Amino acid sequence: MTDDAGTTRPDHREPDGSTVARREPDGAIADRREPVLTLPERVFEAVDRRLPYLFLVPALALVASLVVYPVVRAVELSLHEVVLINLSDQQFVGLSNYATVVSDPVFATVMRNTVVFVGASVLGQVAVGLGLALLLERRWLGGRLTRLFRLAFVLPWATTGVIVAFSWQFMFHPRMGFVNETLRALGVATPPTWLNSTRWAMAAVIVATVWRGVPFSLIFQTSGLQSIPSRLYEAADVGGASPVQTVRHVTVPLLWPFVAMNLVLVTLFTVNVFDIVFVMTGGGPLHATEVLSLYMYETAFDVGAFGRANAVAVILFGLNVAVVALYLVAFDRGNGGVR
Amino acid sequence: MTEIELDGIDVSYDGVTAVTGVDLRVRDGELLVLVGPSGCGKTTLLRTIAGLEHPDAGEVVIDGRRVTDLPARKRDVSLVFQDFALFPHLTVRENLSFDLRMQGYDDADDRVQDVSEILEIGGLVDRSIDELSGGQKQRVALGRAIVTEPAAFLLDEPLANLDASLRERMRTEIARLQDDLGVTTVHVTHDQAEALTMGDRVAVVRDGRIAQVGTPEEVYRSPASVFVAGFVGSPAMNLLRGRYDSDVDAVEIGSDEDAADPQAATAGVEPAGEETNDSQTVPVGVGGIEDDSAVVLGIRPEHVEVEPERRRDDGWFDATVAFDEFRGADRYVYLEAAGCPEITARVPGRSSVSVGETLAVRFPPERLHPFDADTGQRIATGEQAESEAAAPEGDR
Amino acid sequence: MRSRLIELRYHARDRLRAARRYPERTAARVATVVTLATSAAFIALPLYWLFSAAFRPQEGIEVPPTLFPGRVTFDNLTAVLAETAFPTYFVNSVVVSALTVVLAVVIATPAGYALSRYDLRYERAFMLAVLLVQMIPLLALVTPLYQMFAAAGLLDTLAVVIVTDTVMVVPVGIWLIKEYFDTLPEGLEEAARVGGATRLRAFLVVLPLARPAVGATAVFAFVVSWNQFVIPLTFTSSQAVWTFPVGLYEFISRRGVVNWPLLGAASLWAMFPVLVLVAAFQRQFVAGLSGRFGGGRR
Repeated sequence: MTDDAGTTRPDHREPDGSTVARREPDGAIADRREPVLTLPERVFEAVDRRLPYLFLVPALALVASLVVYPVVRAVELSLHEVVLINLSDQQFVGLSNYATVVSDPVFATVMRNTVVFVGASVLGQVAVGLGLALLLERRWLGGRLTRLFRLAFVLPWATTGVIVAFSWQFMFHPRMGFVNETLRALGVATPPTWLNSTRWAMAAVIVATVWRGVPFSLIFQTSGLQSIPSRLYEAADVGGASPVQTVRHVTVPLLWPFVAMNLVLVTLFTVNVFDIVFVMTGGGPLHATEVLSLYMYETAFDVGAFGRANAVAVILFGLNVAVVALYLVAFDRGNGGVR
Repeated sequence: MTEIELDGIDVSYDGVTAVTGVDLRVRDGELLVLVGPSGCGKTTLLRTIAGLEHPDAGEVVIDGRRVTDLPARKRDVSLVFQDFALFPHLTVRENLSFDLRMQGYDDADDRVQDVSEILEIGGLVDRSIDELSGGQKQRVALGRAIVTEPAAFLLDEPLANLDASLRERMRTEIARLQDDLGVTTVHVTHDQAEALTMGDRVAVVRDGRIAQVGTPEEVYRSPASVFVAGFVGSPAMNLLRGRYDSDVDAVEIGSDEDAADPQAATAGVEPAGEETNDSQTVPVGVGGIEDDSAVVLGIRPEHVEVEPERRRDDGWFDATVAFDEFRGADRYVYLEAAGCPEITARVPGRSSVSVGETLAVRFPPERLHPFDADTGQRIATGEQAESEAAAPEGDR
Repeated sequence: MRSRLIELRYHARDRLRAARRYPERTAARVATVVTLATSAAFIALPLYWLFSAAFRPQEGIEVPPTLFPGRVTFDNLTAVLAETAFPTYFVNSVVVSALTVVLAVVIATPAGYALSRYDLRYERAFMLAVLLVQMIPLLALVTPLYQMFAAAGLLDTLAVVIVTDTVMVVPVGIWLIKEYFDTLPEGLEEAARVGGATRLRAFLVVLPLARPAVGATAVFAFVVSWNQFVIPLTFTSSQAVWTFPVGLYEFISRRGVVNWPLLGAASLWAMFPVLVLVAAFQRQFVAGLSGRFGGGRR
């Protein structure tokens, strides 16, 4: 550590006396110099210094009271016998609600339905979304046309779930629906009754769900494609790669992390789809389209077994946590592996 | 009258030390340049003066007033940022009057008028920031800083974002403006040439500490350490490691067995090549160095004597031209000699050398800067002071 | 006008010439556009099917149905406003969405700002929490929330719907605003602070610069709360506080036979604000959808 030896030596260039003097008589400067902060100022300063924490308080309070606490509450309620008509009467019953749920024969059907519904819907959403994103990502399309198409493709996501359900209910209407009208025109004499058919209802619900979810995957994949620097394509082009080779060696490896994340996120959304199925079929006919979210809701508000419904909610929550864990793993790999 | 004093300042971010034990006094009306490599803590020091960082220890005193705990807005200083930090959604006029409005002045319009005239941006006041060129933005940023007539200006690499020709011009312009206003100014830069040109005094910062404070001439002519010697001046000073032999009052370059010692690396000197069997002896002619101690000899490229004929007299040795660069008035010649790291010599531009040619080279003893190889500090010698006085103007 | 026509003629001629020179590329491009257009038509079809019912006469939809209504009528659009409770639902929806937008922006903006601008302790943990909260299923929270609101006597009010909607959108808003402020130079607020502003004032000074992110948050909050179904369905029971999705649902489930033209008309009215908003703020909507500001190659 060198101490400031220079301060003891005479200054080699004194500041011009006149310029110093010009500042001196300026009263305004001298006036506004208080040597210390007054008490209110000090209080204000103390608050101001903690401003970022104050900024977080409302968000934290909201999330803590309406997300974190309810999760704890759900677990607690799931261990009690509670009925909808008298919510304040809670009898501790341990894990018996879970036992009842798991041994319910409908629950097995529900889980099977959930797997089919989620699996098919997720694959459909991501495949169609990715396909459209790849088609749309053409520079020669021009800005205006791209925007127009994107607007059309994004519409389903902006549509109210209830209206989506109505639209498809109407599309699949046995007599007045567009689908059966088309099938009849194609020569199918007795087209399915769709939502009234235990065999076909699930397919109809999946189509509606895929239709609703495509925009999210489309936008997600578009941002993935746009994150690939165009220089890489130019380099591949200059290097003599064919279009197929370019896709194989540039697009696929760089896009893969986005596809993985997309799959997990869409799974998360689809596990929790409620409105479309609820409005289209209400879980019927004969539990054919009853997925976990519907089962939970009906246990709570139709059957009135509120404690048991919370057990289902905890199971649903656990399913989500598992998917989120998968997401974090994919996220980590996406960050570390490819970039 | 504004003096800024830093007294034992320590600053750290998340437990990582940025600045340690810095004492510094900025005199009234002077332009002090904080210079150092990136990440050395110079900007942190400036931000500590401004009040944007709070030191873990030490005091900041502005104008005799302890301001360590005072928020930035109460310190009566102004800061010019590297990226100018102009508000893009406000006009030039609104940017210029910003500080005045925040501090509650009534005569904002008149002051903005005056300042825009001083900086010759009067015609731009109603433009938006996006419409300005880099140089114009720079002027607006300066204008915003001087309009409140603060007690001190703090400039954080304000020239780094300008292109080369504009930078040269703004350098002079800022130094003049500062001189005219006579306001105490601290200027941060990583460019040593800028520091020497602009500063009334220069403080060289390294690893969160002040390595040397002095006028540009002092820092250039008698660097306090190997680090300062290597950092200040372009092309960089030749630094040669060796061992002092008091019998012949000379240093044998490359003879230091500890050449691979990590201390050498921290001192900023590359150890000599592996072929230490053949070495050069450089007479020091100063005395005052402990016998058989490891030293680093520094010599500025313009002080290396080069002659075309081979000479066998005392102190001369042979070196081969490895490369040369023509720089107009000067020519930089890169020389290789047995046992030595590469030597840079600065010769007049009209002299002709060719690669592969063998030249005679000498380091005049009065031009040598001896440093302790272990501590990196300058070894004080009696004759050094005299040679300083006699030395011609350096790299300015 | 004349010059525009000439321009178009030249443009067409260029295209033709290019098509003749590169037939394969042209075929691929035509195929791409056709596929995109077909997909767009398919995506628009269900909505068209429902909305077109609004313009079909009450006497009953033709069986077999036609793609275009035989006779266009606007009676359904007026009837749904005059003869049903739909206007009440619509007004409730407007109130809920407007207040959710305001609350979400007021809560998310400072939080996102603080996370972007200050090196806070536990900042990483907080961002991770935001991400997780964003993923926690609302559905798993419906039952405990119902119990909490019931115990507090808050069920069947618009306030509960608004607050719950806000919780749903605040995490995305925080994320959008933090990411946006990350792109703005931090020196701006420091310049303001050295210039005499408090931290609070410095925040207000730079706030206008974050308009795109705040806009995206607002659009996102509006669309989510406007379309929200489970929350009002569960937490409200009297018609006076229903939002339109619940109204529409009851509209169909209460009666055995669905009045499709009337339902189409109601849906069209309900979707109108969202359609206008999404068309006008496509960029912001897309940003809210993907939780980030993309666009433009890096």
